[in-house]
Amino acid sequence: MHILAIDTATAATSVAVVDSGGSVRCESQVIDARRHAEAIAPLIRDVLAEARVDASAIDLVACGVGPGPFTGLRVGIATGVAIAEGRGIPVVGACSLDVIARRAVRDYPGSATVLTRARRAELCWAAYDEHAQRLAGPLIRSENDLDIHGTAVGDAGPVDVVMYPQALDLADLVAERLAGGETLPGSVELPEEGARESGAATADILHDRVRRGLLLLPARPLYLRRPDAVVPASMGGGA
Amino acid sequence: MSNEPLVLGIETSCDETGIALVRGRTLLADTVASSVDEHVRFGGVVPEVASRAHLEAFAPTLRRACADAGVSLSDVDAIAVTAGPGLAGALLVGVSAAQGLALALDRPLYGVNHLAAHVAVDRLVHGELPEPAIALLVSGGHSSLLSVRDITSDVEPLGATLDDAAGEAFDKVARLLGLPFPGGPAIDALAREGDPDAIAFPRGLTLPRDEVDHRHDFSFSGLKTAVVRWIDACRREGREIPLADVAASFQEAVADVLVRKAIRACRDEGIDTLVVGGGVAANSRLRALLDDRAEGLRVRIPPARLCTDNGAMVASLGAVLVERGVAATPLGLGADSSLPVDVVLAGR
Ligand SMILES: [Zn+2]
Repeated sequence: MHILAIDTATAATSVAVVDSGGSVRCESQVIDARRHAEAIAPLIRDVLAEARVDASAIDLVACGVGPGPFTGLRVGIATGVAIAEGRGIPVVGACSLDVIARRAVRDYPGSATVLTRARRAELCWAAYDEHAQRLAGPLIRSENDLDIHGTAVGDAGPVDVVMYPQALDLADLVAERLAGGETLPGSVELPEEGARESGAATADILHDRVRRGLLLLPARPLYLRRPDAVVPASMGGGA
Repeated sequence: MSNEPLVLGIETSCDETGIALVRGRTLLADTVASSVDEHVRFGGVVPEVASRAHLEAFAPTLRRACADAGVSLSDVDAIAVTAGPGLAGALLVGVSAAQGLALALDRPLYGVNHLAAHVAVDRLVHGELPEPAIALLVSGGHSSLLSVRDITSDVEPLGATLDDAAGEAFDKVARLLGLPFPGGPAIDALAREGDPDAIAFPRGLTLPRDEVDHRHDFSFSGLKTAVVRWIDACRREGREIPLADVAASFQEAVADVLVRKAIRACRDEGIDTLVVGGGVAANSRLRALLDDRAEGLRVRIPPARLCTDNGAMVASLGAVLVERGVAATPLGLGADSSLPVDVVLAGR
């Protein structure tokens, strides 16, 4: 069994081929937030060639479904969906925060809250148990509503690890929210590395979930919000 | 079995997810999933809404097209996709999916120009395109006059709108008159009950100096402003607004200037074929005026269903490119929201 994994939830376009044993046969990425569409097809072709896996030998396509910038996400998912249609094989999604959580609990045993920057003054977050199983989220919340102990993300219990892979400003934000004298139990920053690993990690998540019989996500972006669009006043919309 | 190439066409430049299969000049399936209903309450196409809808619709539309055509994807010889111009986020869904299919099926990919595709669709109805031809493309997104010497490589823009597209003017005036989006069909219907000569609305860019500077260009924003002023004056004077007359007179002004300039472009260039495409080509007054005035010209207008955006136009252009042995677009194709008219094949 070969999984083709595609992740475009960050500035990186990441592609990996994972074999039936769960080991990564080949993985590669291009980091350019504005050129996912130009990067992805040649990258898949090259990764397949290097892994010596023909497109006809892929059994499953896995796509990172975010949360992340929508335009890039759609490029990866549209490509993955089309490959699956072309080959008559299934396509599934993996939550990109799950990818980060897997690494979090490996490096800092215990439960975790994963934070990423959505856009100005907003955060994506999700809570995980010590097996990196998602307990709550993903959600988008104003950073003012941030509760690093996880209670605001549901009854996730105490949080041992806070991750902030995207932006250093999240570290300041988290520090601000800590009560006097309290320190972070553990924290990991994964700026570039997080992005670079995402193709292989997406495949890894998937492989793990398949093995554990867990539910997979559909290959559809986790938008977590309605489209920005205003109904004009003349069409009966409010201010 | 036929030797003619089986081409899959994918169109996602605006709010229609169009997927079609063409064998040579035969249209086997033309499937369109439109998100227009989701845009109605916004009074226009919302790019993010359109992009989301394209991704949702892609796989079901593709399956339906194959089922309608009675072919399987492995039978497809080439894949053509609109690479631009259009809404960037919407185009990217189609371009990405097309590349995924090209990879999975190991077939050549053609990233084509949406405007050239509007011209090429006519060969599915009226036979091979005569080249050279003049093309008038009018829709909510474009208003262009093109000189088409070779549909695969030599498409020259003669003129375009300087402001609003013709279809955009219909939408805006429809809103003024309290008619639904999209405005074209609503105004066309209302205009049947009105007098096209009731109000003398301006014809954009038809003054003597425009005949030199903007001979083949269009402008519709002045017309829209004139309609606004006329309605305001009506209200001020406490007169009831004769909606049907406004609709008919506005439509007359648009159709008159489009037809006048299109026919003159043919005469100027010494070309006797005019191909009309785009959603506004469905307008009944435009068609009637072309019938009246196109003496000595062959006017080719596809049926309304093929004038609006669809996958058939893209597949049709793809089939010409394959038949004429044009080299495919390499993988790594991006979307170009402002792809120039004269670039028929993107990414080369
Ligand atoms: Zn169009």
